[in-house]
Amino acid sequence: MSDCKKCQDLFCEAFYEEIDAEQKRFLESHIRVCEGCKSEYAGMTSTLKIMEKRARPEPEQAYWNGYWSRLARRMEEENPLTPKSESWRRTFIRAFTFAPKWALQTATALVLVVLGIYLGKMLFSPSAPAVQQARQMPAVASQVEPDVEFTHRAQNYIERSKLILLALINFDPETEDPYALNLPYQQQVSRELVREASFLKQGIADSDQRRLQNLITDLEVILLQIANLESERDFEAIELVKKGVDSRGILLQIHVTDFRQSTKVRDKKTPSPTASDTSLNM
Amino acid sequence: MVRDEQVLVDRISTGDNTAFQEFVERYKKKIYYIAYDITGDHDDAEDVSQEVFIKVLRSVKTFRRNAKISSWLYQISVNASIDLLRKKSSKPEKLMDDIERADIQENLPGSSSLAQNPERSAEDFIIQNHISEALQKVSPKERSVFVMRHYNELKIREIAEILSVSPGTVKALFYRATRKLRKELSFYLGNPGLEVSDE
Repeated sequence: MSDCKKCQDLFCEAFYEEIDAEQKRFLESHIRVCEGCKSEYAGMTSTLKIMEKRARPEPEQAYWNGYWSRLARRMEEENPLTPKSESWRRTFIRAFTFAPKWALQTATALVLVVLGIYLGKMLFSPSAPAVQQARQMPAVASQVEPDVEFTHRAQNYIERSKLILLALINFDPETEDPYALNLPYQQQVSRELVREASFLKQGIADSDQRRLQNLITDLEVILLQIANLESERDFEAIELVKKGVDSRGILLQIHVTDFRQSTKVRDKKTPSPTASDTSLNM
Repeated sequence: MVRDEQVLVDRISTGDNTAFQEFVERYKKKIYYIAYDITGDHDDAEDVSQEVFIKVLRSVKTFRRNAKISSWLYQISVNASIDLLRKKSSKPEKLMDDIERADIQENLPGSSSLAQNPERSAEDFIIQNHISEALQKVSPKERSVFVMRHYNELKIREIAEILSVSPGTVKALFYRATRKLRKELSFYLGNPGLEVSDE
């Protein structure tokens, strides 16, 4: 950093006497030899002196006396004790208001890259097979055996639940904006998953898939807790959910399920006597 | 947080309305002034300050007890003021001439207008208007930093904490704001005869 830049960084502190003795000595000695900084500092000082002339209109005492009654009236209308969720647009704008320039540039670059990849895929990937595949889908689906369909639904349920749990577990209220968690969306998905869980549990009831049944039951409890969280700022309740995930070892259970499934897929690729078994068999 | 502030916040979180009223009485001026400095308008400042108290009531249960209450209030006030300015800027705004502005100043509770206060010179009135206009030409972000340091006497470190940015960013925003103000008010700076004295 050049001496002029260092000097300009000290202007604000120097004007309000927040500067330490060493910095003050540096500033004074630099201003003595640098005409540019000297004139800049003088200009800044004059501007601030003019700004001191600004008279802020002082409301009358009557205004202050009636302040509480006006606020009370508004509170009656708005009922502040009912939690009000902030719109995503407002949260987004706020997040970017004080973000440093480099963060905005990086975000823009990332958006452009993602957009480029998406457009590239849309424009240059062969579309005919995709259409054919889409046309064949209903026919294939109708031919799928009920237990295979059940397995797919169970996998889908676990995968979606995992994403919800990871979002919550990785959320750190100390460093992140609570609204970035997008709790209303997480709750909506959690409610859908709780409904799905009751279907899956009925499907498992007659089989011997004990592990899967336990996992679905554990997930159902956690998802219910998430669906009933009061707000993004209810940190204590969020912490309880995290503890619940930890104490039940849910993520470990999910990993074990994933591992078993990937082993099964590998076995299917290399024909073996048990390859025809498509169920999760947990 | 100071002990009695903590007690007050605890009482509010249990739904004690008297405690909330005491809290409002204690901080209403501070919040009104910062909102006025950023928005430059009495009605907007009133609106923002009320909104801040409503937000306090909504989120008091989640307030970290080790945090500084004034920083928390400034943070909500600055955000609410900037949100309001953003909302207003998206609506078409009627341009005001000096006469309209003078009318508004006259109707402001407690403000002394030109007619009511003959000793206040016309020149002073014009300077006041130019300063307000210059301040409104600075971006809301830069203006927030400027008014917090210059008119509300917050330290650079405190402003950085309120805005969740580094002290370096605060200094840079302050410097940019001052440069813009200097440009807007160059008429006074370039005319030694008209330059405002220190008194």
